[in-house]
Order: sequence, then C-alpha cells, then structure tokens
Amino acid sequence: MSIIVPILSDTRVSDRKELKDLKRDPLGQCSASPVADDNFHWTATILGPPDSPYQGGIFFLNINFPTDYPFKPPKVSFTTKIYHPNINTNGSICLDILRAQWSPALTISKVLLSICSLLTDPNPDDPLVPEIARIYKTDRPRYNKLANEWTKKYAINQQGN
Amino acid sequence: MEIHGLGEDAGPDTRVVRVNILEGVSLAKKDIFGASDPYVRIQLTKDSNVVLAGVTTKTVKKSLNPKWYENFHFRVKPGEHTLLFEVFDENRLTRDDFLGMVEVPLRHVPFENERTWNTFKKYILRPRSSRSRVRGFLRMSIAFLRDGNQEEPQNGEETIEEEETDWELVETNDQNQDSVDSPSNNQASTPASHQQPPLPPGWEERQDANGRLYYVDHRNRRTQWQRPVSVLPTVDSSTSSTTENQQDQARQIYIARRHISLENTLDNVSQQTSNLAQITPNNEPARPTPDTTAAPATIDDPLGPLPPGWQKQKAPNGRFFFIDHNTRKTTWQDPRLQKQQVDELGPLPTGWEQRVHADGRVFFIDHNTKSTQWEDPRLQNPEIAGPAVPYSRDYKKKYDFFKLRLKKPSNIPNKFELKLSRGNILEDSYRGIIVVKNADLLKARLWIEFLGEVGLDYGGVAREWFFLLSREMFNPYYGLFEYSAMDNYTLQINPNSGLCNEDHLSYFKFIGRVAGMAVYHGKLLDAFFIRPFYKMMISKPITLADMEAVDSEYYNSLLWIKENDPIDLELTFAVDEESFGEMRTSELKKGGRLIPVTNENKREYIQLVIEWRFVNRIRKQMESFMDGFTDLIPIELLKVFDENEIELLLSGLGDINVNDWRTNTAYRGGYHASHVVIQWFWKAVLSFDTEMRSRLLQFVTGTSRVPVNGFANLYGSNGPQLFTIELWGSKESLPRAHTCFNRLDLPPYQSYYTMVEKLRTAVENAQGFEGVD
Repeated sequence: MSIIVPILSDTRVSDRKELKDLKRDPLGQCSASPVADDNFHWTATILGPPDSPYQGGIFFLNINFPTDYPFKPPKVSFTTKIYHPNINTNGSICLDILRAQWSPALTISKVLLSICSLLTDPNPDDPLVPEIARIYKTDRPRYNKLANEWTKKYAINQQGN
Repeated sequence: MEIHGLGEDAGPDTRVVRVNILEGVSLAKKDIFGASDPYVRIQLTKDSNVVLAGVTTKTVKKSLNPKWYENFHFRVKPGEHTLLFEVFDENRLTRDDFLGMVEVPLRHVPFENERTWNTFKKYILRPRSSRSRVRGFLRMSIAFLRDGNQEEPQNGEETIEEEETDWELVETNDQNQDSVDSPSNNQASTPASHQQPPLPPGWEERQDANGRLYYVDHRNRRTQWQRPVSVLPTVDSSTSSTTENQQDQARQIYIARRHISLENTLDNVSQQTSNLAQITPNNEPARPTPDTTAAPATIDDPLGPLPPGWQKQKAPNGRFFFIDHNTRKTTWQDPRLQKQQVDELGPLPTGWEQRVHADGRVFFIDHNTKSTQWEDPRLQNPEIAGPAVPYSRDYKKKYDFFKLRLKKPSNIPNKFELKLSRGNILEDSYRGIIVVKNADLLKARLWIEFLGEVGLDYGGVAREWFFLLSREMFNPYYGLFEYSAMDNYTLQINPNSGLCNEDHLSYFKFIGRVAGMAVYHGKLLDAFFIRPFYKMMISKPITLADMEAVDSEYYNSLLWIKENDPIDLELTFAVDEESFGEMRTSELKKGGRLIPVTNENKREYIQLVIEWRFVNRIRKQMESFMDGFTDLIPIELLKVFDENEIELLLSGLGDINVNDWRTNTAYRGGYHASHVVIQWFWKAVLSFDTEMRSRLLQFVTGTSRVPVNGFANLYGSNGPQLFTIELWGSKESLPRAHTCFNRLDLPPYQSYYTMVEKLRTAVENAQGFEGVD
C-alpha cells in the first residue's frame, strides 16, 4: 500500500543527482540549469559545434522532466530555430535516446552531448524534416549554406532581434 | 429585422452592429457526463456596468462545441458601448453555470464588406473571477452594417491591418500554421488549432513525440494526420458518409465477433436454414444482378453489387441494413464482406458445398456425411494445411463448462426491461441498472427498447445496446477509461477518474454489471483492455513482462534496473506523480522515501513499482468494477480462464483475414515473403481455427483485436507498427514475441511440423519464458 506524502519537488533525489553530474562533469559545449525553483523544468544552451555550419550560434533548449523520470526520457526541444533534418520547426528533436533507446542510466549532460553530435552528424535516414534531409543528402554545400544562414539569423546576436 | 439597443432616434453617431454567433468550441464540462447545455447571453453595456439591452441565444443541449448560428442586431454608439458575451450552462434545477465571457469594445469593430461577412473571428473565453473554470472560445463575426449615408471610420487602415492578423476566412484550408503566429492568438487554449475550423465532435487533436499534430477519432478509435473537417448542417449529408461508414465498419466487425459456443449450435441452425440459404458458387465472384429494387447507393459501392436477392436499404435512423429476400430476413451485416477471405485456397473437396448462413456468415456442408460446419474443410486438409495438431488448452470446453455453471435464478421475473433513448444511452442505462438492488434481476431475459422505435427484442436489440453502450462507457472522453501509453484502442482505467466524475466508483460498478450482463447473456463488449486489466479480474499478479506491451519506455527502464546495478541512479522506494499540476510523492513502502534502491533490493523495488503503476492507482475503481461484475458472475467460476481467455470471453472471437494479415507483414533479419519458413508460417496460420489465430495474434500483439481498417493500421507502443517476423534463435528455441513492437521472433525451423509444434507451445505457454519474468 502506498502512502501519499505531499512534499516540495526540490527534494527530488534524481534532480540533485543531475546537478551533481553537471558539476562533476562540466560541459564545454553545453550548459543546463533549472528554471527558477521548478526542478521539473530546465533550460539549456548548446554552442554550435566548431566543425559544423552551426558554428558561432547559441541555441537554447527547453527540458521538461516527466514525473516518472528517469524511467521516462526528458522532453527536450529547441527554442531557437535551427535548420536541421532531425529537428523540426517546433524544435522537436528526433533522437533515438530520447525515445525508444532511452535508458535510466542516461543523464541530461549525456543527452546534451548527443544533441551536440547530432548537430555535427545529422541522421538523414531517419529525418523529421524530409526536405532538409533530401538537401543534406543530395546537395551538401546548399545545406551548409542554409544551415549557416539560419544560424546567423536566429542563433547569433539574438538580443538584437 | 429586429434591432436591439438604442432607438432609431438616438442620434447621428449611432450605428447598427451585426453579431453573428456561429459556435462555441471546446467549452468547459459542467455536467457529470462531460457535457454542458450552453447558451450565450449578449448584453450591450456602457461604462462597463450599465446594461442597455440584452438577448440570449437558444440553448444547445449536451455539447461542448455548440453551434448556434444566430444573428442579432444592436444600435450602438461605437465610441461608448461594449458588447458583453457570457456563456452559461443551462441547468433546470440549480443556477446556470458560468462557462466564460468575452468583452468586445465596439470602437474597433470593422464595417461589413464582402470579406467580413464570411469571416469569423475566434474570441477566447475568459474567467469572471479567479474561481471560474473556463476553457474554449466563441467563433463570431461582428461588423457594422453599412446604410449608405455613413462614413467608414477614420482609422480604416488599422482595421485592415487587424483583419490580416486576426480575421480568418472559414473556407481557407491553408497549412500556414507557422506563419500566422500573431500575438492575438497566443492566448488560445489550444494553440495549434488557431485559424482552423473546429474539430467535429468526438475528435481530439494531439501531438506525437515529434511535435507533429495528429487527430484522434474517439468514436471509431482511429487516428489520422489530416485534420477532420466538421460538417456544417448546410452541407449535404452525403459528405458525412465516411464517418458513418467507419461506424458501420466498426459495427460489422463487432457483429462478426462471436462466442466460441456458437460453433455448438451450428447444426441446429443450419439445418433449419439450409433449405432457404442462398447457394454461393465457389470461386466465382457474385455476378452483377439487374435487381431493380436495389437502392441507388449500391451502384458506386466499392464492394461491388450485392448477391442476387439481396437489397440494401436505409433505416429511419440513417443506418444501412440489408434484406435477404431469399430467406426473408434482414441484417445489419453486409453479405459481401463475408466471402473475401478463402478463395485463394482453390476448390472445395468433392461433395462439399459452401453456403451463406442467414446472418451472412459462410458455412460448409459435407454432403458425404450430411453434416455442416463453420470451418473451411480446405484448411483441415493435410495436403493444404498439413496434419492437424490437436489443441490442448481448449477454451471451448472451458467456455461450455462455464456456461453450464451459470445458473438462472428461480423466482425472478421473466424479463428485465430497459427503455432508453439513443441520444442518452449512457445515462439512461446507468440509471436503469445501478438502481437494481437484487442483481439477480439482471439475469432475466433482457428486453431493451429504444424510445420511439417499434421493435421486438429477440436478442438483436440487446446486442446493439451492448455495442452502442460500449462505445459510450469506455470512451476516454468521459474520463473513466483512457488509452494505454501509445496506441489508441487498448483501454485501461483512468487513475484520475475521480477528478472527472465524482460518482466514478458508482459508474465503475455499473460498468462491471454491464460487463457481467454481457458475459451472462452471451453477448459481447466492443472494447479491449490492457492485459494487466484482465489479470486483475482474476487476481493474478502482474509481472514486468506485462508492462512491455503497455509502456515500452518504462519497461526498458525497469529492465535496465533489473540487469544493472541501479545504485548510481540514486533512486528511493518512492515515486512522483502529478495530477492536475500538483506534484505528489507516493512511498512504495513505509518510510520508502529514505530507502535507497540497491542491487540487493531492486527486485522488490521493481515489483512494487509495477504494483503501484497497475494496481494501487486504480485499486478502488477496479474493486468497484469487480463488485458489479461479480453481481452476475461468480469469481471462482471466472478463474477457470486465463487472462487471454478473459479477453475472448468479454470481446469474443473475430474473423481474422489471413490475406490482409499476410499483406501487411514485414520481415527482418533475413526473412522475406518467399522464405520457406515464412511460407510454412502462413500455411500454419491458414490451418489454424479462429481461436488459434486470435491467440497467435494475442501472443504477438498483446490483443486479439484487429484494427478497424485492417492490419495496415496496427499500432505498437511507438506508433504505427506492422506485424513483423524476425529471424532469430536456433532451431531448438521456441518463438518469442515483443508485444510492444508487434514482433514475432521466429527461429529458422527445419520442417513445417516442428514449426507448428513450437508455435503452438509458445502461444499456449505465453507467460514467463525466455528470461523475461
């Protein structure tokens, strides 16, 4: 029989673990922290990887932890617009570890690192935006150019927009 | 034209404003049945509290998406007046409930022109105080009439600009959802549905994990990417025929499902009717018949013409039914749907004949032995199907035993009468059944009567009642049941049902009684549940394997814990749970918040998490359901069945079209359609009877239900997922199944016979092998 005890959400063990994990293992490319006092809602930033057309961009992401985290994957989405075959205009990300391949051993820092490498190496065979995947596969210079233009437009000097 | 508000002599700075109230969309629920009876009160106000005039629309009964289509005219002073729209839920006895309000200052209202006449704007409903529970919006068009001698307002440019961002042509069907994000739309309660016509009733908009929108048709339990278009009453009724067809199709499938015991009664029935039955020639498609009495609807029918002597007609309630003039009988079932399945098997053995039974089903007569049967003899022929393997579990025997033990009580009236209206089927049935003190009365012959319809209930009406009632009481719309994690047809009890309906436990008892009545009277429900539900009915423990089909992500995580040391996850014996924004932590055992999960105690942890997810959260609901169910069916008797058989008991066996199944199967790991093992597999499936096919389907997909539109629409826990056969294991292994992926791992057996043996063994011992407990 379960006993229901209303408590404040900041006693969640797993979130403390996430923060420890980030402190122990600081990320050069990415950062993440809770929004205000809501430990179920985080924001993160990813710097565009140097060897990609996203270089120089700062991309913001939203992270929502489901209540059954870490049994269920966090919901991660871009809030900065990005031109990428696996990321659509809603910012949704098509990444296996955020879906069927999720494992409770994964942490938010590992997820963010995977997203970084998805920026460097898109997966056009499992696209969320088929049109971008087609261009990526058939006309790489055009893809690089468009991705770079979007980065300049949406992910650089955002304060100016 | 009646003009409310100021008089004609009120001065030169007045104008006449036309208010066209089209509809309300997604209004708040106030009745316990999840509907409201909304109407709109419109007041012309001045200085925000002086009411100059007021009118109300008519009340639309039982709708959260009411259509009013009403026009009103007010003479107003645009600079000073405001229109106040308040939506109420009409109650007969208590005060009307407030559903939301909109204030429209008339200063910015545009003049009517050809464009604005047809444009309807969305007005988000707002609360009156912090306590009001409000949702949805009104769709209206508000514009000043031109009367020739009045100038357009000075700020014309502003108006036009507003039109571009805010106004919407109802006819437009643009896909420009991203480009129209104007600030005025930000408050929409359903952001993605802005600028779109409302969904038809029974539909819901959802987002998949990739943020794509899709649409759920709760009534027909199906999904589609395309936004359904609501049918306005002006539109000719023929456009709604797709929805009607889907309902019809679902009904066909429901009617075609049957209890296993029907095979018993066959001999009697077929002898009575065989003289009358229409002979259907083997292998020959039904010829077109110049039947002048046929309804015109059959001409473009994709199924082709009806068999000779049949006629299709529309019942007064709009549904099609079929008349067989040969046997002078009517049926809801389309006779043409009956004979598409078996023709690839070649001619019947000599002396055999195939006929259509009066209810439209095909049966077979062996003139050599003067006997009849439902099973196709070609599937029993060893040359085609291989040697028949006796089936050991024998659900049929169990069912017959079970039926024998269900005694009819003495000293009860000879019938149980229920009068109800089609529009109110859930409420009427609930009231009629829950008030019965002595549940034995429900075991009397059912006598169902739909108000305003003359008819004798010799079983057909009762069957229809179970069908229609299933579609209501299990509808997630009412919040008593919900779909399991990902698909949209397997149901589970909604743990939050109490928030949707204060009387929920009484409803669960009612639903339990209805389910018990269906079983007692040999009728079927049109609903399929997650396996843990059936297990709970017979008090069987729920295991990790049961979770696989219900929620694969959760299952994988628990499996990971089982196979790894979970100490790094820093879990404790407690789980978080959110209900309506409030976060709560439930301890899995006393003091569990402080007990870490270690390698040593993880098995206990997994078991407790499963208990919590499946059992504890819905314990009260399940108890009430069983309370009602055992009013009719003794629990000890029910326990002769296992959980898979309980599904067959409640929902019956359906015909499974092997051709469709085969066409919509994918192969992996080296198998392909012409691989010898795969050919054996389909040969084996063809040789199986309905029960064994159902069980195989249960084994692989978790349910014996075939989606309404066939195997092409099969769902796994990650979305659409075809039936898949993967090459796996050694020739000694048993086949295994992954219910969340609809996948059968089939080892490369050396002979047809071994494969049938192994398949049968695996299906019959479906629980707890191959390392997953």
